[in-house]
Amino acid sequence: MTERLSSKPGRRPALGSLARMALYLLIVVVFATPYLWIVGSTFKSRQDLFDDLYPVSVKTFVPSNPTMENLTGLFSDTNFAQAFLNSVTVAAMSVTFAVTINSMIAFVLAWLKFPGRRLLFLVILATLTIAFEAKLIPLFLTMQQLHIDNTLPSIFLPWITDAFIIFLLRQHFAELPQDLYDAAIIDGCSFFRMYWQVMLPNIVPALVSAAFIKFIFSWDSFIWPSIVITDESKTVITVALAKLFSDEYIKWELVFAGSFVATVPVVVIFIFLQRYYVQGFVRSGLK
Amino acid sequence: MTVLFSNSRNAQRYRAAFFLSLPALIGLFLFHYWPIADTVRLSFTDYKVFTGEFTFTGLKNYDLALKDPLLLLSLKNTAVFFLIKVPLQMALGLMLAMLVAKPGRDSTLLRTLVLFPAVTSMVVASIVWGMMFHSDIGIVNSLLESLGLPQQGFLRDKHQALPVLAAITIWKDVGLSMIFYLAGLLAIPGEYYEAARIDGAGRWQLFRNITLPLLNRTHVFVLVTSTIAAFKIFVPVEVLTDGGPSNATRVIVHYIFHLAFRFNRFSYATALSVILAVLLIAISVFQLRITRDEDDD
Repeated sequence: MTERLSSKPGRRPALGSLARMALYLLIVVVFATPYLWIVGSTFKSRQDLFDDLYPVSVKTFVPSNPTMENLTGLFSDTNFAQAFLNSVTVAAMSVTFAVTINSMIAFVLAWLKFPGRRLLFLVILATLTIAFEAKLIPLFLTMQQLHIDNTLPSIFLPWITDAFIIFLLRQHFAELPQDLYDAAIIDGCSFFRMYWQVMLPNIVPALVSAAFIKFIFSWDSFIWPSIVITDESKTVITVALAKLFSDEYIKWELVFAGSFVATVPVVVIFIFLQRYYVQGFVRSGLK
Repeated sequence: MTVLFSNSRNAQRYRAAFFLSLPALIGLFLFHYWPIADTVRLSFTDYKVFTGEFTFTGLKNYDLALKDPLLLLSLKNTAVFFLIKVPLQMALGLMLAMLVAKPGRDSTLLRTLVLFPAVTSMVVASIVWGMMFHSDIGIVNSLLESLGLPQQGFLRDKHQALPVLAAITIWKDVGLSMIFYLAGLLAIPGEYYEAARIDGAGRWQLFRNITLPLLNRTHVFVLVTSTIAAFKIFVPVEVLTDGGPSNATRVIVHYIFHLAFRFNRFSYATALSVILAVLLIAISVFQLRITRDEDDD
């Protein structure tokens, strides 16, 4: 791998590695700058924030008089603390329900041979082909008719059954050895205990992948919460942030602080769970 | 195998399986198939918000759609957005994958960094790039000024707004394309390259004749998934431009969303949703078809 994708030894190695260095640098600048700007500006006073913009220098990204007043202002003057808490609650519920419910049906699809099994799997996968935007309107009207619009459960309930997660987990269940199944049967294990005590503990990495991907999906969701929630106290972080950004008189320093709160915890978690995130997508995408 | 079970064991197994599947199936029908069917039904009606009544109007909504210049414009803008975004994202995704395929600390760090946007919410990505490209207080214009170059309107310029939105979403999505390409690259046997190199193939030839064709399945996967995503662009438009300036970023999902939730034209919006869903399926099938033909050659 190393050999075939790196530059050929011999002629012009210096030029090649110099070009590679420049490319690396460009990529780092493009991908890191927005984060550095968010972090730096979060800890700057409004005045410094604007003063440090023209011209762009180190000062643009590193506060010279660090202050916490944007973060404290964000939590005291806006409903951001509530929105953050709501997002955490919704994500936690969404992940818990989705991993439980989808792993149950994924196990059945992988290990029970019944007529119509393939058809059922297809019916589930077919949901991936239709854009969720196409069902928003009836979904919204249904929530109103059931009188559960404007509640936190209405944010995550519609997205619990998740074909992507079912596909991913079915794949992992199906790859477990037949011997494991047979041995448990001989021990007189019931079908439910087979799922819960025998099989589930063997696919923990895949469960972590599913949980983290669902968490990101939930944390990112914006369209649906902005439709189904009108009550300020039920709002989620993405909607609160967009609202901060659309105010007539935009408080830029609060927008930065809000972006910081919405982003940094997730990115830090990602650094630790990166492997699971990548595996989740790779395994479900290409097999 | 079957000798291990008595009939009652089998019945018990099916009962357990039924209860294990039930919650997911309820979700599937209640929150997916039923609303989809309802979207189709609503598209043949006229919905009055205040009375909550539906009157059947046949194909009237579809008839309206055919004569709607804003629908045509939003479809055109969406297509342009797709044409800018998808080829660039695929090329950059492949390039990044080739850069980080080389094992080492640099590659790991670069891969992690490029994936940050994938776990950053689209609202934050839109806002931060919206501020970077802000025509008055943005970093990009500040840099242009330092370099002695003219200031740009970016999101306020009707020719630049759509390409800027494409750039923002490429930044957000290219990390996932990269990891799909990376998985594809790592699956290519190293011997192919060695054999070709012994035959005197240069780097470009290796890339053109081994890497590109052997990634065919990955190309198809990335193409189809990123096309669907491109046609559904919404968040950056909603957060940054609201369809402007002068309708330059009016795209289909944004148009539907606003018909429904700003103007309460639910029925007409559902007809457009049906059109969008059919269009997306048709495009995916078409892309799978032509790429398969290439495969047969």
